Amino acid sequence: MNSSPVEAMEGAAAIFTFANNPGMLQTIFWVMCAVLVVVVVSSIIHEIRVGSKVARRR
Amino acid sequence: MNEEAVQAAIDAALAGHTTINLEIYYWWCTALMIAIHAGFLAYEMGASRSKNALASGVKNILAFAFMIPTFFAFGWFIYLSFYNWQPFAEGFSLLGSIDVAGDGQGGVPWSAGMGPNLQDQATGVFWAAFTLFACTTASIYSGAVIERIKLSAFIITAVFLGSVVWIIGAAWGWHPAGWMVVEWGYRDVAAAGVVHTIAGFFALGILIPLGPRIGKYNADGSANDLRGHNMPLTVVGLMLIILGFFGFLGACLIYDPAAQWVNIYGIPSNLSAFVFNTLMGMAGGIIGAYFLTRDPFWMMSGALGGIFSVAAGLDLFYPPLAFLLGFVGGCLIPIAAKAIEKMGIDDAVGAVAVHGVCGVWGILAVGIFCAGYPGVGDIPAISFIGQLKGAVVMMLLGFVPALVLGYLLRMFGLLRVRNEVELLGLDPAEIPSIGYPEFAVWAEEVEPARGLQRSYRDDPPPRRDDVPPRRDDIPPRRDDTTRGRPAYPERPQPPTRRQ
Repeated sequence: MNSSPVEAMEGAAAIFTFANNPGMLQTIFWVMCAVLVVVVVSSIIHEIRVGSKVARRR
Repeated sequence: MNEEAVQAAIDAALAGHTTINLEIYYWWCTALMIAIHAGFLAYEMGASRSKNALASGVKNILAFAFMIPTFFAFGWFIYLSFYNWQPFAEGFSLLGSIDVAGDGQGGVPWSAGMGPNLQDQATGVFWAAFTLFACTTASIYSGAVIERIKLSAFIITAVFLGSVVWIIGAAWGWHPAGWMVVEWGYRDVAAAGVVHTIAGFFALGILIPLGPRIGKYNADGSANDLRGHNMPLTVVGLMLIILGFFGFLGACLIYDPAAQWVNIYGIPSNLSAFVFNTLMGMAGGIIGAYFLTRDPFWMMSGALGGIFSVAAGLDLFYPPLAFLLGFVGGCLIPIAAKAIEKMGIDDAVGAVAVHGVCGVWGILAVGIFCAGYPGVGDIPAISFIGQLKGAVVMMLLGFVPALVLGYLLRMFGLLRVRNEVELLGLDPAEIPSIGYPEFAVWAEEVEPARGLQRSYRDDPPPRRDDVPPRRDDIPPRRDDTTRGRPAYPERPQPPTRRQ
């Protein structure tokens, strides 16, 4: 699958994947943002669980 | 081919080289800036007690990693579009003066320039350099809060600093069309204010709601010295930071091989000016801190403070004056750090003093010694009042949002680890590996910590046959006898009820 808009090198500009498909670009962008948020939330949950376990053991 | 065509071909080839040279220059500046983060990593891990060393490192690595995608997502857009954002200038207009449709379009994450583009050889390298500046702000702040901040809280606050707060300051005061530049003639060539003052005062804004480490202060209010576990690592880290700052400062110039180099305000400048004053300021900072403390930690911090003391006017000072400014900066650091400690604020590495205080001193020094130096275009000449107002804006821009965010996180219990975790150490509690397994620095804590990590990660407990057998567990073999007796002496049998 050629997901880049470039079909010929003559005069080519943006060559990245889905550069001619703004909807797809925005979807990928928001997925990246969601991954970042999920990782932060997972970190919060990890700290809460670990904190309560340490508190119980001491 | 006629003469004109040959000339046109030569010009085209030279233009290509110019663009490529520009890319190469910023590529290597960016690469060199990564040494800043290697340095901060070593610095903060060494400045932590051994029970927190890895957690400090994880924090630093994650700051770096989170900054890059978030700066791609909105940091670069803010820089390009917020240069005239003054929500309180004429009534209240939150979004009115943001240039979304003009320059801001270049920073929209799905625009044609924000990715591989054969006709745009500048956006990528400039974005990368600014991203590393953003990472630097997070690393500056990172050291102040070690050993008790939650990792998640640190990520949230670091992203807020690196991809929002400092870049607003950069758009205002480190952009040729920034309103502070155009209206006040604010000059901050190598980011003493927009990076160091903002990051230093941001750290202060978080430290207040975060509170000091357990054991830092006694009941009578006197402070204890909670020394890190590896001073040599810390000192080497500081030296690495200085190395990386040569990339940082180099990237503060606009490189054009075909024309006069200019600084970020479009004012003619060059690398020779930068290197004179960088080295002289650094030397002054080391010697100033040595003069007051004789302590290698403060001496290397003084080296950084000396650079920041001259950064705002890096291309203007006479080098011996830069030395003296750095000397004053180096002397200010331990004094400011002591004053902050006496106020009950536990800045573990002196980030507020080194970056915040020296950054302000650097901004003011330009107003004192360079007043009247002209600008280009609409940019007014340097003035002390312009620099003073600029320093106040930078301090408030760092401090106030951090204070608000810090109290918000504290309100929801998300800012600081539990006391039990802090006493045990963040490494045994949260990190699934051990920094110094050969040394039983906190041996009594390692076993519970291993159990904790194992139970959290739902790993199965070790099977009995994974454990090396103890002597008593080895049954004697029938044929392994000495003089007719078993190889191991028979254990006395417990008395039975009949006996």
